[in-house]
Amino acid sequence: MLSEADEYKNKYLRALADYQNLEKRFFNEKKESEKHITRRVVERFLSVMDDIERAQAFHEDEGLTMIAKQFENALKDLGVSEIELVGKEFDPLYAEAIEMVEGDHDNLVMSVARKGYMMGDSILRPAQVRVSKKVSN
Amino acid sequence: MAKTIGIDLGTTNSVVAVMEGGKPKVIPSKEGRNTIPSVVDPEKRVVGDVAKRQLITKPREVIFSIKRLMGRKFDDPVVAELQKWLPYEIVKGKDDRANIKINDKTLTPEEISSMILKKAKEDAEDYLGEKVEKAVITVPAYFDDSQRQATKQAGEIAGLQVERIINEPTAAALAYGLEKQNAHNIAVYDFGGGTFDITILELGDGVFEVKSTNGDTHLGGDDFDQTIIDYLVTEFKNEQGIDLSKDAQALQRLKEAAEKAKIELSSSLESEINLPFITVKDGQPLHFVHKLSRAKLESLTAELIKRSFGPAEAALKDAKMTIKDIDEVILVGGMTRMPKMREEVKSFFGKEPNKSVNPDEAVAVGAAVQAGIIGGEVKDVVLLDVTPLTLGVETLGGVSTPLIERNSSIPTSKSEVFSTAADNQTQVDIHILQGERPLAKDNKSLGRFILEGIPPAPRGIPQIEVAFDIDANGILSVTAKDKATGKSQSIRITGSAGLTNEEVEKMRADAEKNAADDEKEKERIQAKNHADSLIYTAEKSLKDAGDKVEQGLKDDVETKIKALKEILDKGTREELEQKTTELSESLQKIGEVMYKQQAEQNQTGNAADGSAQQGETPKDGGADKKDVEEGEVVE
Repeated sequence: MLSEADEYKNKYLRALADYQNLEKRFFNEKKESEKHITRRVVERFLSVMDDIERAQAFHEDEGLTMIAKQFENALKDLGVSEIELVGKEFDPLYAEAIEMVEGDHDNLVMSVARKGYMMGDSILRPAQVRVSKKVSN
Repeated sequence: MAKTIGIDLGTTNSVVAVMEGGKPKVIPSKEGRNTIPSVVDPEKRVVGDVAKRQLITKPREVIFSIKRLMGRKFDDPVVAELQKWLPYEIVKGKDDRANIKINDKTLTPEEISSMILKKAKEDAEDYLGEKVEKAVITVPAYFDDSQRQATKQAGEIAGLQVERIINEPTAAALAYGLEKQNAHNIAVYDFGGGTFDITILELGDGVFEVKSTNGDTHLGGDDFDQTIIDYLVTEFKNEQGIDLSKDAQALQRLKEAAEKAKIELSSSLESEINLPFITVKDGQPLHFVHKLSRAKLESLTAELIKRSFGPAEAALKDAKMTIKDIDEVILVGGMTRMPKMREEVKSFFGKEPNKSVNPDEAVAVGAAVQAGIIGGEVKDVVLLDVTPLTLGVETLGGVSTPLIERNSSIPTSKSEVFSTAADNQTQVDIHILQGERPLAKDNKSLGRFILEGIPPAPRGIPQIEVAFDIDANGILSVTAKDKATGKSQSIRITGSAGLTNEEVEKMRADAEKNAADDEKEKERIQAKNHADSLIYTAEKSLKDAGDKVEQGLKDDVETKIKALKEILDKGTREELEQKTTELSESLQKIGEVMYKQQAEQNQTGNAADGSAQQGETPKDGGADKKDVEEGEVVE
């Protein structure tokens, strides 16, 4: 009898704890979820931005530049910023290495193949970079 | 109470899940994904996506596929095979184990895996907002004892108390809730990122038993991606004459596009690959636009899917089953979302596969369900650990008498009452055995002890209760208790689960092979025990009869006792049975005479005497009857 009561008590406490934790998480998640949705939408459009920039490299077109500018401003309004990486030491937290290239130093970001972005203080999308490998003479 | 998490420690990806409010939930990683790539940079202690991003910069320092090395000896042919393609260095470590060498440091696969598990633990703590100290970890069904041990140790290094190591297919079956259904034979078709496993499970009395397992350690979703990439590269080469595989950036974009197309084609019939400015030719930008149809993807990957059915056939054969015997087919692994694969699985098994659970998460979810069972959160579900072999004690004539049958779910306990084999026997030897053979000498001895101080009594009278108890960790306690005096003696055996899978298999195989001979010998011993018991009864009857029976009858019985005694040790079962019957017949004559005299006495005697006698008789009779019934006597 006692053990059954204990079992129910235990179950009750556990359910209560589960609920309280859920409640805490619910409020946090509510705050987070807005961010998440924005992130997902923005992330999806980043590839379009990538291609606009690629196009810019080939075509000097005023209209295209204006579109790119619009896009950049929209990103800025949403709290999105580019991660500056070139010349810095390669940090896998912010970028993925896709190629090794020769250089004067080891492990420096030589160029960016695909830009990385932050949203607020979290990483929206890591960059894809080329990393140096020192050539010994 | 702290939660126990379930971890699917995979070759390519790992997944963590936990029971919440009675339902399993996959825990997202800090990176916001449901899976953690099983990639580790041990120097920086970085795990998952972040470690994966430096595979190119540190090919000899970033470790992936570590699961393939778990618990393996350096000389294992599998290791030699792995050395051919794994970019990091594999060296011989302590106990000839395969270890990893990074710069000047040697690390064990356990240590590397522990870092993945540590991340799983930390992600779970972050998510749950409380400390996590316990885990259930899954391993492939084919993992042997040392591989399981290594996995357990990895958990311990990560600061986790490993509550249980369970088989991945069993976990998947749990995730599908099959333990509550009537399916008996279940095929678990697991097409993962890098490996393919097929396992036949048998569900009986709420316990899953692995009947057979097979697979291909180099067949998985990654091969599908590669096939698509190769195809796209060829297409572009044919169109433009440029090899995109030489351009890291273009290849990276192709890789992502291929994976996206593969996923898209599971729900739509066509996917457009659209990669503007993929490369440059003569100073002019080139774009890559290609429509990939589901049909095309299917024809490209048909061979890969087909490769899974060889192992599937082998698994059925090993399980001694045909497709008709399979009641349920369940799908595990992200690749099983591909409609063509489902179709092929369906036509192979002639049965619609069950796909009600997210195939990427099924194993982790099952591990969480198991964790919930252990934690008491989930009830009405069976405990999965079973004793691999039968446990019993040695009884008269060297017979192994089972108490806990093999495949019993644990924790469990069982007791049985035994008695003595000789008059005035004051101690019994309790010999604990493990194995399927009917004779004690053929089974593994786990331990023995002596229970002393039994009050002198005729054989068969003392009641010795022998109780076996196996706790959830497989630790066996055996207690013997003399019911008359309450005296008891016990032993704890921790090594009962310490057999390697090969040992268990060998013991089972031996039992099967020798079944006929063993059975014969056991029958002979039973005949002998029966004869021995009758001799005892006959001698007692002669004594009791005294001069109430004529000498001729007594001589006849004595001759027959002598004849039986002569063949007691060496006679065949038939001889023993024949002589036992002869003695029994002669003995009955004495009984008849005795009863007749008794009846005459009762007729002449008065009623008071009769009732007094009757009052005594059932008591003695009851006791006698009992020890004949039990028949089993501890040596």
